[in-house]
Amino acid sequence: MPELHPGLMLIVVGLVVAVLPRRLGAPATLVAAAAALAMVWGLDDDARVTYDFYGYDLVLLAVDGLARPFAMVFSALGVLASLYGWTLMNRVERAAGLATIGAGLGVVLAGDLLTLFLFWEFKVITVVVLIAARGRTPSSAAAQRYLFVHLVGGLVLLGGVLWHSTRTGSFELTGLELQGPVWLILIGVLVGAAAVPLHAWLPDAYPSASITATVILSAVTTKSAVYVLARAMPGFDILIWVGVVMAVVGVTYALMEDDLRRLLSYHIVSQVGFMVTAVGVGTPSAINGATAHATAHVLYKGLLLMAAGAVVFATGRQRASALGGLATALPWVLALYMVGALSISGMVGFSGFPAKELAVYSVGADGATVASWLLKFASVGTFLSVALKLPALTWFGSVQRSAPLRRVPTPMYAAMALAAVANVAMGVRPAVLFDLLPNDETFQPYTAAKITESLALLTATAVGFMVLRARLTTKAVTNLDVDVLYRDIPATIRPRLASLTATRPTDSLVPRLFNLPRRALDVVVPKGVVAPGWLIGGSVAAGLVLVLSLVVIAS
Amino acid sequence: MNTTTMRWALLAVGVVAVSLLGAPGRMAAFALASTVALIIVGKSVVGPRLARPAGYRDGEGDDDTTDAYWAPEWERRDA
Repeated sequence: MPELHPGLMLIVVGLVVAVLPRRLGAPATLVAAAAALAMVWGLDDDARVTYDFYGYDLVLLAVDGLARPFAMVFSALGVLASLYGWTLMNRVERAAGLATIGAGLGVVLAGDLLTLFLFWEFKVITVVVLIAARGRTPSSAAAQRYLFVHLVGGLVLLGGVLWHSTRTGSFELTGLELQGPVWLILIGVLVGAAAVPLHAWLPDAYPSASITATVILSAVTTKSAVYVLARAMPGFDILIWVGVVMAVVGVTYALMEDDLRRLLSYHIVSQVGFMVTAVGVGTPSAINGATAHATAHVLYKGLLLMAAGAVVFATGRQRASALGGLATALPWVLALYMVGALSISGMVGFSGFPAKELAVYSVGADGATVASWLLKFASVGTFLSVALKLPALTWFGSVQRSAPLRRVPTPMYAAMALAAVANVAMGVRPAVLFDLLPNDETFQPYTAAKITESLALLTATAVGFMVLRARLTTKAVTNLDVDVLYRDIPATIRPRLASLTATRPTDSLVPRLFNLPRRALDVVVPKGVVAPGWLIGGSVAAGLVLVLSLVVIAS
Repeated sequence: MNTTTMRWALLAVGVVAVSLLGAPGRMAAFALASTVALIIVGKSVVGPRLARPAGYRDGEGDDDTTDAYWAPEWERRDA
């Protein structure tokens, strides 16, 4: 019997959900997500689906030990997000959410580079719709910027894929060597992984989306890229340092951040850094570490964003400086948040402990000692900001808001509780996690030495926090990141260029010639409602090039 | 000696003391030193240089002058 592709199923159901009556949308979304999970669970190891694409056999589905855990956790998160957003999501969000998870499944189940690219780019479109579906001006603007960045990244990726296939005559996903076209593929994938300095789209887009959309985004977007790196580029040394920089820069920015969801978004950059470093090491143990960390991360980051989302839902505020004193009003949200916070911190008994231990241990075991210590440094920052600073400012301290809180709906609590159970189960019984891993390697996280070291690291960080906590209060500010390059600098240049090149009708030819750049800029940089016009123009141009390239391939 | 100096002195002594307690002690000392480094570098050195007033990006339609999640009309409806 031919296999049914769970990702394509979700995409088709997404289209149906878009036109279903509102009362049927929520159950249909949950049933589809649960069906996708069941389908992934039931896939045979040699399952394969191909499709004849103008004479080329696209391998739409190919399952192995690496693809399976990513597919499992994407679809599991789909179930949690569908439950969490039962009462929250609008029709467009449900459709785009299902399609995004479907596209993510398409990426991790793809059997060749071209199929992977097609799902990768489809995911960009669904994510743009998902972000914009919140229906606020900031979300539309962030969706536009996301589209621009990812179309440029997609173009670079496509260039690499085409160049590589021309050279080798193959769209094989494995056996890539870091030269010529593979550099382009690497850069294209690193945009998706939010590698520093290509990361600014992530803390820009995620907090701008709705609270449910952010949960879906956190699972699918960067982890798809981690999967591609683990699949196609394990052992690329450069990834070790790319990952370490991500881990350290991410926690540093998170420590400064005031916006709850932006803080957690910077921690995604940081945690993905752990995975990228392990992929860079590339040993079977390290690939296991990257996979384990990615799997656990989807669950604990999903839980953290769900809990932060519950706070945002109840209070209508997402800056820590506008919150405080919520422990009595939202005690269960605090308890569930802390399960996620202790998991991400690598506390003994929670999912992050075995996952992070394996990832960091495998990096150190391969001789990358400095890298492994820098990852431990990032772990300190993670515990400091996610498990200590954020709860202290949000749930404790003085109450900053007098307005009544909205009641958090039961499905939101149910989704958070399920995620919490999964995190504790993986922490208490690591075999639940380790049995999913691709390589047959033995690792024992629960040794006296590892437990003692972990507890020493977390206890000492907590002591440091108690002594210096006064310095960790936050203010309502905007922290600049590398997105100044496409958000602020063009806006600064435009009026200066305009004043430099301003001409009168009586001016001679030379000043008129100087006026040309300003006129050109006026065409591509009109001041748009949702984004600078050059982003819109650039996105359209990049999209056109992508479509034309696909037409050329097809012909 | 004022309170701030005492805290720093306490931290420095703490780092040295716990580092003498074997492998877990060294890990604790590392964590304490990292905490101090992150707070000093992140909050006191890097942070102020990157911080702009909230609403800095209003010019392009971003409404980060406010942290309001719900649209104003929804806020009014629920009030």
